[in-house]
Amino acid sequence: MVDKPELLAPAGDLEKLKIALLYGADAVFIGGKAFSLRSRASNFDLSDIEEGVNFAHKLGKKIYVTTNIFPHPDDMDGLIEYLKALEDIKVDAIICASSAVIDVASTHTNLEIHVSTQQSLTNHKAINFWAKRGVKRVVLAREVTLEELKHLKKHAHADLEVFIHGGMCVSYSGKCTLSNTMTDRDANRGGCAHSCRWNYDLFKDGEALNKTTPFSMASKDLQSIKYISSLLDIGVHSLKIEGRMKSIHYIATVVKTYRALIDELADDIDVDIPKYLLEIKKAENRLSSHGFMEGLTDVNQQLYDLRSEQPTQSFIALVLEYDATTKQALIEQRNKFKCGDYIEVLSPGFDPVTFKLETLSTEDGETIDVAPHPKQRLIIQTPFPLKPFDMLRKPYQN
Amino acid sequence: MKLLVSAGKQTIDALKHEAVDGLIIGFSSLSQRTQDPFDLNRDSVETLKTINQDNVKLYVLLNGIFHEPDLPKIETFFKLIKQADLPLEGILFADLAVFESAEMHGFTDKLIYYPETYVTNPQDVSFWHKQNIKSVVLSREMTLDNIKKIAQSSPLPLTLFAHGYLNMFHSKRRLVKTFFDYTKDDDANKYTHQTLHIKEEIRDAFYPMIQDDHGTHIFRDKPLASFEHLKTLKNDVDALLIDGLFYEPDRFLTIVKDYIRALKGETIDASRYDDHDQGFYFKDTIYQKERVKRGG
Repeated sequence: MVDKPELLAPAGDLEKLKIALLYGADAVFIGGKAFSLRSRASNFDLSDIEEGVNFAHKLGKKIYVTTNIFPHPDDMDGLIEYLKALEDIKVDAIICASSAVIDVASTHTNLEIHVSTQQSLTNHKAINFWAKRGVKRVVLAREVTLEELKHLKKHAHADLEVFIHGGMCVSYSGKCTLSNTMTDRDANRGGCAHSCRWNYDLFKDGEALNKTTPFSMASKDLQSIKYISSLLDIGVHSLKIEGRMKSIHYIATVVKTYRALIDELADDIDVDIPKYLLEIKKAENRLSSHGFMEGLTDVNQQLYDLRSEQPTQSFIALVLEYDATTKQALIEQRNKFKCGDYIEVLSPGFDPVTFKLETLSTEDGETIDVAPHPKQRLIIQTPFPLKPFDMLRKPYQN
Repeated sequence: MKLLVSAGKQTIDALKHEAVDGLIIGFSSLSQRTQDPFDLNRDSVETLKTINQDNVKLYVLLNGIFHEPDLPKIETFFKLIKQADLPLEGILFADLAVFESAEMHGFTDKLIYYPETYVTNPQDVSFWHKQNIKSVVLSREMTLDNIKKIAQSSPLPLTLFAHGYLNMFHSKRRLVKTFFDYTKDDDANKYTHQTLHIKEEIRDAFYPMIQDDHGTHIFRDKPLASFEHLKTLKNDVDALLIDGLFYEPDRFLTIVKDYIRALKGETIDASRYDDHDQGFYFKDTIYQKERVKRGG
């Protein structure tokens, strides 16, 4: 039996935090309203962070708070106060990119410090620079290959956290100012406009080199189902899923899939990889590949001629309550569905099961055929018990 | 205020005669986005030693991002300069592996931290002062106002990229090659090491792009020029980096001479720089911070 690494999931709000933990994450990383990248994904004020931490700790799990911007001079106001508040709330660690934030945190608090992927740490000497200065863990650059990771692990003196799933920067993280230049939005303070995903024309000496195909730099998302076994063998400390802006369905599906895979691999059970690949596809809203896992990327890791995001509408409802006596579930609509649809149930710790929806009514008891309104609360009859936070979705069609 | 000027194999002989405070040279396997780097070997180091004997102060650009297999090259560099006893004024670095090796070999006091985007506030400078290095290069997107604020109580001399094409993006991916692989071009490698440009759908700017052995690099469309701000910067900054990437040698020599004259208070022909811009000096980027209070 191999030691299990931590499964670390993202959450943009309290609901996603709870979903991630209930669906199998060992830890969740979140951003506050200040000092965090992905500013549009950061909905946690201090009281939310405290509620999240209490929820996690009751489950024996952890919360990390990102403080990963590169602050300009005026942005440092309130940092010490904020870090001390996080310490009072007992967050388990902060994730920092700036040497200023690391220095302030280590001087004024006893918070555990993780160094962000924004530092683009790619070798053990760079890692050990931070390890000597009290950093407990580093989030490796996504450009590190599996082969490099094997060597790096032997010589690094900090815990290693590796991305396994989600969106990828095309530039080395923390080094890109495309957004700053093109849109005035600061990529290193949470404003990245994803300029790397736009369409361009390519020129040499004034002549266009691309004829009909726009030049693109966009990357497919990272998906590492086939590489989890190797990562367990290497002994990486934490496996990280990216996606604080992603939906609860995405988080639930991705976390649950990797949770089950890690557990089976750690228990030396023969793993049905195609089953996991199919399961992870149900959350996919952008084509995915293996990033730098196998070495330098090639054409198969890039996106061309396609809309970058292809939103899925398969997630149709969240279960709020279940009455075992009446066998009825109170659900909240998230995408349109109707009576007669086949519905798949996603539930932590269980394989998906499907049933045909025979009855549908409003919370007031009015029978209806169709559920078109987002967040509408509805009652359905189910052939088997459901639990709060179970998710209903349309069966996957290849 | 010091003038530190980038120099390659073709330009070093002309530049060494100019009244600059240092020449920054690169090595092909250790430096990125530099023109005409030297090869990392004993002959190159001996050549540089000869140049140094003409009273030229040498700085080395070791701004690569190093993966595990690259680490021995850093050791080779330090061993070569120690063996040759090459006097160096400064080592500009980005990857912390260079710090670790420099510390081991006794060169910490020569180090100038140059990560391009990470040094953004006074506390960064304080941190690096505690590491006993020589200087830091301020982040490329600092406004003049930010530079002043950082300089106000700086314990370290500050360095600033003052002239040339600011880098915006560095990817390890070979984005030109993969694009031509996708379009099934006969030779997807044919544009490697060549200056290309990209233009976004709705914007007018043409951004220089190069794919080389280190990946793909994209630069701002216009080079930065700092002549108008030298009087201001003199109060805040110890050294200016003048970079020659994309310039023809003759033009770059003119630029260097203009900075020498300007720093003496002489007038230069400003119209030579109409095709340059002021970078981020007056362009503060958007960030909205919310003061986080307990209970709200």
